Amino acid sequence: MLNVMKSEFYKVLHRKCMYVFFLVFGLGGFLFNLVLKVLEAEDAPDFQGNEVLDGWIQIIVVLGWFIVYMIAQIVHSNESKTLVLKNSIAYGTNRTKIYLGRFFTEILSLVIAVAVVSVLVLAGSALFFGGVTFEGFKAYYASIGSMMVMWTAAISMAHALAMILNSNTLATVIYILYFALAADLLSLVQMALPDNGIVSFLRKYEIRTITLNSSTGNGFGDDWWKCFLVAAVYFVVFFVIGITVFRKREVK
Amino acid sequence: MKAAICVRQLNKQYGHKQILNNVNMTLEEGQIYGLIGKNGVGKTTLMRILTGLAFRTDGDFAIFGESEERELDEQRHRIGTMIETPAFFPYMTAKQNLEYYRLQRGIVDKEIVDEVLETVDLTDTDKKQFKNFSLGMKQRLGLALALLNSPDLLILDEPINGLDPQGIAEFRSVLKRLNVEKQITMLISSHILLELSSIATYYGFMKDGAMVEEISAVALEEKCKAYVQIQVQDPAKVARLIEKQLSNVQYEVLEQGILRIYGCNDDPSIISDLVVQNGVKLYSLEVKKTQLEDYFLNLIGGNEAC
Repeated sequence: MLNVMKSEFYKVLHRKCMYVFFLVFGLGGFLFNLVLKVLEAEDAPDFQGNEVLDGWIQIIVVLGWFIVYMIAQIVHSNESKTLVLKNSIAYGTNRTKIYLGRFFTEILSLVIAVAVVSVLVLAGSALFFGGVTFEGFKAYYASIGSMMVMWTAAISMAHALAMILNSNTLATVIYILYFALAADLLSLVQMALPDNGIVSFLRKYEIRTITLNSSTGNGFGDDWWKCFLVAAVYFVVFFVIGITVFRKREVK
Repeated sequence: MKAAICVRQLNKQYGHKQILNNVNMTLEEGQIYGLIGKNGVGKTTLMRILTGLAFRTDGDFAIFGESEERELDEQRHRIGTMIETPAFFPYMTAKQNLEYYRLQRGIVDKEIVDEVLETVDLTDTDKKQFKNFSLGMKQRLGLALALLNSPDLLILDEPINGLDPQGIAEFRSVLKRLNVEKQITMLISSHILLELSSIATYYGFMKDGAMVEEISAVALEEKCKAYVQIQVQDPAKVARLIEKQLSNVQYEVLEQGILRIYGCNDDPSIISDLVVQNGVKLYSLEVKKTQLEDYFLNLIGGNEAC
């Protein structure tokens, strides 16, 4: 599996879109500070570094579900079009190792991306707002650390879709629609079936809903264990489905 | 000789459609096995099953004597493959693409990438990305990948498709050299029969998902030897004359008064004299040789040419 990961990182480093990704989100985080500084200059209340970080967290909590999908796609390299998987399988590379190797590459890529963007956000905060307090720094990493758990579950879903579907477009549509609409659809269904326990349960513990309803500024607060449990369920379900189907799937 | 690949009663179905029908095949080590069949008979499907890309419905196969799933994956490390169109990352160069697989396969020797590129004559591609390769270059890179792990067996699915005559000649030359110098066994499918005839040592003919004949190149050459073909008014009389006066000659009687006589092509006048001197009208006389293509077409059409 380590060999698979080595090769996947080698491939990712040769993808221009990876650098574009870091440029956009890294600079975006840095420039977020600049934008707020400009707003502050225009009769807005004085921002503190901690407040800037809170604002950044609010953005990332919403966008993060889609950002992790970008990372997954960078690693998968449009497999449905390139059809390179057959070279690995025909050589006898174990399918489980391929699945896990790519999966852990995505997770590590996510960790690296979060670390780099965080450094740039904090650098911007230091430059424009004099930095953050230790408490602010702790709260930021508690939130980001908690979100990483949720995002890992999202990667499990993104990875499973990419590995088992022959169409990159279909995988993308399913993922985007789920994270864009699932919570709202469940709300509508619950309005129609207010006494249905299953619907209520699904709505309450839908991964994006539970994340947004938690105190993200404090690493989910007292609800952290519920969020993590939901993430663990998503992780396991999609992991099992993904690896089971992939091992039995015929490869083009 | 040990069997590199042994296939027994292999079946493959997609829904109700039978793709492979009780296929039996044996590829001995050291052979260059030409798998011949029209488009859609199951050649690629057979190769995909052997390489783990597809799964059999029924039947068995063994690679280097191993048939258990876990052992098959181990044995596939000894195989180099090129199935259908070569697939690589379009944004990477030839060297980068091979380096990806070198890392993935845990091949320690870093020089191997340059070596295989040199073998297939792709050393001067430099910064050219795969998406800008010609078809011939793509095919050669596919072969380079197949050679990356120094295989004992190559499975190549229509490797010379789309190549120009020079490309075909070069590809063929590389394959022959690999077989002779490195004793690499090869399973090559193609419908460009004449090209296979110059390198294959053994043939398997497929029709409608089944293996209809396996035959060595030597035996096929014997079957497709030259003959004298005549068309006469009274074939029965000519047949009696041949049996009486040319008893060591083989012949066959076909329709419309046509006879084929083997072993007389060096001096066809023996036949013409025999026929004419015995008062049989001779309509035509030709010296012919069945080409591999004709043998194949007649075989899959249900009629053997020889």
